[in-house]
Amino acid sequence: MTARPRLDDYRIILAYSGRVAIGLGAVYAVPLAVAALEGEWAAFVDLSIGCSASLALGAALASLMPREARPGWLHGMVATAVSWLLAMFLAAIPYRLSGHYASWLDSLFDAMSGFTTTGLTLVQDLDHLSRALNTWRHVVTFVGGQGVVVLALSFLVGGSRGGYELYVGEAKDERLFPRVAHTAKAIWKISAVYLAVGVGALWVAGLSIGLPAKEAFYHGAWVYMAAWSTGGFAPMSQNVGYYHSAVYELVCVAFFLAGSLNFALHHALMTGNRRELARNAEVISFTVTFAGLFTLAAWALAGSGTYGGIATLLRKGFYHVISAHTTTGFMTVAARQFAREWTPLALCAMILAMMAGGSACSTAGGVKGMRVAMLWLAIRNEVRALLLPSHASFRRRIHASGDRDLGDGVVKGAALVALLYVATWVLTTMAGVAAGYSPMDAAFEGASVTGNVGLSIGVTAPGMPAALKVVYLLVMWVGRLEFMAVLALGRFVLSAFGRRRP
Amino acid sequence: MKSGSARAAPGPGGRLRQASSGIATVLAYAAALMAYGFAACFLAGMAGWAGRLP
Amino acid sequence: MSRVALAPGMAAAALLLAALVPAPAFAEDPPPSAVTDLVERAAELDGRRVALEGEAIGSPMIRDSGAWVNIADRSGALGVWMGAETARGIARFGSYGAVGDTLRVTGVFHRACAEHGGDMDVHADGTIVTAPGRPVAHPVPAGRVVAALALALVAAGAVAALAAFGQDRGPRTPPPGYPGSAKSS
Repeated sequence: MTARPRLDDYRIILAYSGRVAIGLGAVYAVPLAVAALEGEWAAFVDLSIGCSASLALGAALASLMPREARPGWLHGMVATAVSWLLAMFLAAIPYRLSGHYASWLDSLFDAMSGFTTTGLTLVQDLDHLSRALNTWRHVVTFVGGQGVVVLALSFLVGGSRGGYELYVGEAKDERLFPRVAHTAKAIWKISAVYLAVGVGALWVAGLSIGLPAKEAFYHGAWVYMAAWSTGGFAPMSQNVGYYHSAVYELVCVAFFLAGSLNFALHHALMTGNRRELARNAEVISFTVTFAGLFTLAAWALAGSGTYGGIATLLRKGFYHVISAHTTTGFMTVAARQFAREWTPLALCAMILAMMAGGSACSTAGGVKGMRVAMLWLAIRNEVRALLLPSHASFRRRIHASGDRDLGDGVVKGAALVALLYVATWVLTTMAGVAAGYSPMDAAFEGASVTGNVGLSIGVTAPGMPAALKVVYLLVMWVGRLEFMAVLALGRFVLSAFGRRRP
Repeated sequence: MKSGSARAAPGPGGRLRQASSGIATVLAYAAALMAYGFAACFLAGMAGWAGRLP
Repeated sequence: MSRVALAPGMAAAALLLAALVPAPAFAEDPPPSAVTDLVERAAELDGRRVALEGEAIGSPMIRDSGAWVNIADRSGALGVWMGAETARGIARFGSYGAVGDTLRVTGVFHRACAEHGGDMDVHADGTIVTAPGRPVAHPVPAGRVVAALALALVAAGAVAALAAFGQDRGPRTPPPGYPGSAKSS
């Protein structure tokens, strides 16, 4: 075990969480502005309570920072895990006050679903939600998506031996925090460019399908934020099915696919290195697994007669498989249609797609293409080594924003995280079965929760057992933080109660 | 525009061009996946629908 | 095997039902179904005439050859494809500020509409407004306003105090003895 944390350690962690809470309070400005603009004063008051609570608690916690603070990466990781929980509580306040959620638990579930860019929802009567609160739901998921990318690129750099080491050559760099600021700035730049392009494109698409100009803008902004963060929330209860439009769906696909790509890749592409797309191990991995799984699903859906033509197979089959594989969770069918109409084989393809997930250092969830690629290459290398004479050696490398060594430590990290994902999925599925759902339903919803996807087969509903809501909420949190931050928190808590060592 | 290691800092106009070319590359990738989807729907769909015939 | 044994009984029941319930012909409209019923019995109802009753929500989306109006009842929401003129005749749509007109729609139900990219929909041939919509006011509870103002003052004070007396960041390097600092060696 580790040394027992000192008082300063607690203060550093709480102070960092406080800074996150202050940031959240600042983000509240967006829905507050919408509420003021639209004259939705009841929503304005609810949101202002959430905003004030975030600022007050955040300032109080931030003031705990010790003068001689020496934050390390473990502080960063534990603070991350704590921040996600704290943000969940603070973001849920206007949800609960709005009267659209049956309980505090439902409100917290939605906030966690938003911050983890999952997209499962327990909201009631979504079609009558205020514009301001709809904005808040989507801003939460947008901020959550950005936050996790910053987290992936910075906090985990110092400690994990998994995929992240690959991106950052200076993995041994101790000076984390200046890097965080720098990385975050680069990420927000890329996101801002896409935000402008994406909202514009969806606005035009909305106008072309007959939405009034103002509605088209709001819907464009909301759907864009959910797409780019691979979140999967939508402003209406039918999700993207509300729009009944191939054009709208197509534009969505472009932006949630973009959101599921590694930000390092975006950076390379946006600075003139376009060839990186074809060489990147994650892109190759995603393309191969997607092509295979979609072919399987298309065959299953055609063979079962679920969809009887190429156009329907594309708009329902392709759309949902890519929505699953990028861990977005946009749907154009009713949840129960998966259970009633999709064959078990097609659902298995969906489960695999949801578990594989998008790219590392993106807003997507799941095991991630980087780890899939690493494990595949590692297996290939092992076979190759088997066939070579024992004294022969060769380079084990992987290409992702530069050639990197694929050493045993890296492979072990990738394998462990992949194993943790699969184990979590199995346990989540068992929890669903224990709550009385069919194994297929529980497995589908379990994969959606573990991979932070947000597609639903109908399990997630306000009436589901409270215990299962809690399990899903925790799994979303653990899956989003890729275990490491939560395990660090667990170790920290354990060490607090452990024996003191000099 | 040279790709690869040539990363000389471009001017404001060049940066804009590079950013839009980056977005265009991503959109092209999306289009390629959709084209693959269409082909797969065509082939796998044919195989699936054929399998359904009595 | 038990399925075979049951079959004659089921056939008899079906015949009985067929005799009792008029066929879904144009003579009489079927009773309204809930949206969940349509989803759950989609394969069975595919291509048949159904009725559904619910609130028009969102906005009508007028297209070249018709219009989409999404209808929600307590169980769910479904797209209805209707003539553009009918859609324009609907006075109020459900939103934050309004309860939309309640529509009773009859038409042909499609599990996966071939004409509309596999959407589950109803192609309406009869749409009537059974109850007009109404605006909804959202009064602000006075107690909540007071609470919000008080909390805003507390927040402003806390932030001001932090800005005035708060400490800046400490050194960037982790402490030598701290667990984890040696990890990234």
